[in-house]
Amino acid sequence: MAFTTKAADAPVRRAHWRESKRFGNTFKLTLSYIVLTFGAFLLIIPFIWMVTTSIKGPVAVMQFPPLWIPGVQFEPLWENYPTALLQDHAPFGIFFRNTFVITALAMAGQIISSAVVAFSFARLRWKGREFVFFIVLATIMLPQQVTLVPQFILFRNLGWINTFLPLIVPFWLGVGNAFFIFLLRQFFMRVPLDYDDAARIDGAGTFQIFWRIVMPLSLPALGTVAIFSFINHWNEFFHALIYLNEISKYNLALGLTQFRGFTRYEISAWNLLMAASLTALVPVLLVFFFAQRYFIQGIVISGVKG
Amino acid sequence: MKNPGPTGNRMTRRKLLRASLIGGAGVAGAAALAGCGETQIVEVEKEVVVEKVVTQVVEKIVEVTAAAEMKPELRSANLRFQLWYPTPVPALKNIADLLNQKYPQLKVEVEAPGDYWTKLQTAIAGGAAPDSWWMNNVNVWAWANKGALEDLTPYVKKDMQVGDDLEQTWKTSVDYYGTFQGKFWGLPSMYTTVALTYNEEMVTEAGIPPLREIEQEWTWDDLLEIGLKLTKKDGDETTQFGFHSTNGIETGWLNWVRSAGGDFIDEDNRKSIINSPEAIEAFQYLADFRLKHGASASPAVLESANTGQLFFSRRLAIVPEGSWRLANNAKNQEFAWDIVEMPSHPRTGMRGGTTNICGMAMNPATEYKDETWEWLKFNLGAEAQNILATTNTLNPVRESSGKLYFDPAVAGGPPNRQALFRARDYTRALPADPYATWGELVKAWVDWERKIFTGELTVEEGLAGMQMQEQELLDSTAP
Amino acid sequence: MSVAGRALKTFVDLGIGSRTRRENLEGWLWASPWIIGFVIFTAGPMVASVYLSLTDYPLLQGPTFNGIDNYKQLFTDELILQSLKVTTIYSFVSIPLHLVIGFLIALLLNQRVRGLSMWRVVYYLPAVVSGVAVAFLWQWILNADFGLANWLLSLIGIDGPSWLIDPNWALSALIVMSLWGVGGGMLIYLAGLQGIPTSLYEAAEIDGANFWQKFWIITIPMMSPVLFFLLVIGIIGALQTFTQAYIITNGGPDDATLFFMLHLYRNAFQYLKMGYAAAMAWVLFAYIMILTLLVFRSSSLWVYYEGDFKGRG
Repeated sequence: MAFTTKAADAPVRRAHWRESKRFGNTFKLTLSYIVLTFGAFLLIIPFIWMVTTSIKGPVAVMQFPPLWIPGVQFEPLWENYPTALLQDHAPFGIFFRNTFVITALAMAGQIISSAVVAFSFARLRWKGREFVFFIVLATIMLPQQVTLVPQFILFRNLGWINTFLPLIVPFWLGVGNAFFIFLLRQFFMRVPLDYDDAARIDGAGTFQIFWRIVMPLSLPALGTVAIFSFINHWNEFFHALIYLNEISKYNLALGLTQFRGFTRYEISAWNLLMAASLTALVPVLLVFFFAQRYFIQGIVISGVKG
Repeated sequence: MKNPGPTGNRMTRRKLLRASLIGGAGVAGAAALAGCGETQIVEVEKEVVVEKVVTQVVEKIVEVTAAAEMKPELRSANLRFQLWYPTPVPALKNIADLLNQKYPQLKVEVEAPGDYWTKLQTAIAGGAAPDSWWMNNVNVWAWANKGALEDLTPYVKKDMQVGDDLEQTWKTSVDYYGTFQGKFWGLPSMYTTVALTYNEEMVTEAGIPPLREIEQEWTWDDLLEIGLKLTKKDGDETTQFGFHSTNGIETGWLNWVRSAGGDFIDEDNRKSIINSPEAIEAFQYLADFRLKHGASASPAVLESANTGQLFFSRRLAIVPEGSWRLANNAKNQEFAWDIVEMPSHPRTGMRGGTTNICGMAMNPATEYKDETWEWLKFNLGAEAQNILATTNTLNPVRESSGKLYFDPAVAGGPPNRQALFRARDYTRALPADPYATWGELVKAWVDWERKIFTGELTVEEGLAGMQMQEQELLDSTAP
Repeated sequence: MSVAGRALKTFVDLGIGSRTRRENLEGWLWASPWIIGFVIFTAGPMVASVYLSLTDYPLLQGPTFNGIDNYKQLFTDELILQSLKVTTIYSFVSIPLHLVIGFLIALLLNQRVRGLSMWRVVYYLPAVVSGVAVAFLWQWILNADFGLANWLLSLIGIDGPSWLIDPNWALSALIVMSLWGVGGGMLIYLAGLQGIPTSLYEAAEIDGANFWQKFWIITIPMMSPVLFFLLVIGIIGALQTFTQAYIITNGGPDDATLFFMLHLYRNAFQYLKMGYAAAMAWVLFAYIMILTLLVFRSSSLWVYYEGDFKGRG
């Protein structure tokens, strides 16, 4: 379908549509703001609900319609936080530490290995490169469940069950990195190849090119990888559920399930559960607020838009 | 309750003590000391003295045992032990500390992971299970059959002290752990019994005498009458539930089915008999409380407040509960409450009861078998069992410790605490199958149960379905 | 097929090039972390999984070969059917809702609204948080008597259902929960929308096209690759749903939320039927492959690529 701009009366029409557009725009924009505000309300209110629940007493929790304004409708109980976080059967400090260790090590592995491999696809010329890259992309489609059972047996035979290793080592070796490799490759390819040639003439080796040229120029892309990697590992649940068997080794996601004890055996305590859950989310929220731009960048770099 | 003459025991044990001091035979020494402890406690108990004294006595024993010689054959080990709910953890940690004082080279970590049974199996499968863990009577046989438990018979046979301990242990509990295939698959440790918890203020207000006073003669009909009297409504909505009739198998229907003369699985544990006329009668009786009279809370109500909450927020008058609730309930000081035995069936004259017997089993793959055995055995001893009693943890299997546990003067709690002990007379263990695990058994009935109590199916239809699905399961799991 | 063919062709083409041995070696070396990991953690286990799926493997004992028994049993296992049904319904309802609502949000945000960065934060935030904490939050939100969801409904005079305990509502409850993350695709849509040249719209307007015409003739075709991408990612994600079902409903009531992954987890780690679980994984794999293949096949009918003018009228 072709649109032509060559019509003789174009200037007249253009003036006409600009005018009508202005009125239409005001109306449309107002409507949009209303819809957007309503949508935002629906998306934000669960967070507010989580916060208010977490500082309610057991009686205030069970009020309907719910109470919203602390200090007016109900007394805020900040001691819910220490109460929830200092449980014997759910040592939150230890969960935090474990999650931090696992996330840091897995992230490091994921960033380093993705960068190295992406560098190979983007800047080095070798036989089989395109084919291997195609397989990398194909693994995005592969559900991890297909390898779940044999991987479990593999880790058992290695004696890695109930250690952090199954949650860390695979990421040093590229498991689940396909998207990051793709993203970094796109970015690395933008760095002009002339730089490499110039460096090589100056006697730089491949590693120097990687480390001194490509990496410094790709910090934004690495930031994006780091952010997404952080969120994935911080929230990791399924593998933690399978591989960690000792409470003192639990990560946060798995540790939170210990709080179900409140609702199953003890008197249910939604306020404490919300306090614990919110605390577990805080690092993710902080990272999001301080590193928003990396999320947006990621989308732009990957060129997913088509 | 049987109580072997303490004097005779003391004599032999003194001899053993002497022998051990000379020969350095650690096992015998430990046995002797534990024995002394028990006799002292029995004496104390006569005077009906409260917790403090008992703890002092226990501490004294500890001092003596701590001074005892190290067992040369025990290696230094950090043992791991897991159980399925957090309430007993402090008591067990306490016991682990005592063991550590006795044998400084032994440390035991006690923890209660959520989703226990699945996670434990995953850990066993992954070769990373704890050294020992809690079993219950509903699972122990099936797990033994799977090869997941160490056969403890050789340890029991060579260890004189355990022989003595087992003689002083509630026999039913020993049977579940020590007779399947003629072997020991664990050492019994604690058990549960069931009674009705009631709000005494509500009862008095309604002009009914405290239920413990009519306990001896009351029947299902009385409970129905009282339950309805205690139910208050505001239009269609129930504001005060009189009696919580739909409380699962353990604190719910199986007790009533048994009271009516029926059961869930037959005596050989291979046939589902839950569609008997007795069972139908019991289910109908319970379902009516909710469906016909609105006297028992619906699933929608229970989603936001469990029975404990309903009870302590004065929205529920009578609720069947297991002894595991006592410790938590004791925290409530707001109103007077007590427990009462289950009513008897008007025709059979029987009451019904269930018990779940917890025991400690050993991981066959543990590196530290002797050390783990020491921990298991220690838990059956008087010191450990008395701690369970005085901390209000759960019914101790050791009979002398049980006396402390059921005594309100020692363990605190409701005045009629003895009802939980008397319940033992008509209590039978929860159904166990040699092949199907408890999880599988539950899965096969739980939806039928729900449909009966929501009125989706009639009792007859629901139980016919339940019987069929259970039987299919039993048939499919048998080799 | 065509993608694979093209890749293979490139591979052959490149092979002919005059690459030195050293260059080749270096390339493989730098790619080796991924290649080694692929062999150890993906390819190897996949091969092993084929074998395991043909065994009876209770894990405490070793595997014994039993041919295609597991697969035969799969077809008679009612719970497999139920779990496929649950997973499929969830995917077929939640993915289109995500695509459409996410797209609408992006359209609204794409008209030079004030405070774009603020809106972006608000709409994207729920998509960032996930996992167990969020599952607990929603379990509480969906509580029949005291939950936020039924409070909001009561404001407009609706008596909300017992979301999580009514078998007829439980799956819907999880779909509603998933919609909280509806802003996840928004950034991608926005990038796509901003990539559409304004000249196209201007030209259309001069031709007298109204809002809807522009939308159908320009926006949708230009956005179709983005929709396609999000659809594929959505399918793969939805079919692997686990955490919500495990935490909130544990598959119930009445197996109404028995997602395939939850059923697989139970078979593998609760019943310790490792061979059967491996066979289940292959069924899921086949299912995902068929769906993605259908989507890829159909894509030539509705996905429009720039520079692909010749095929279109």
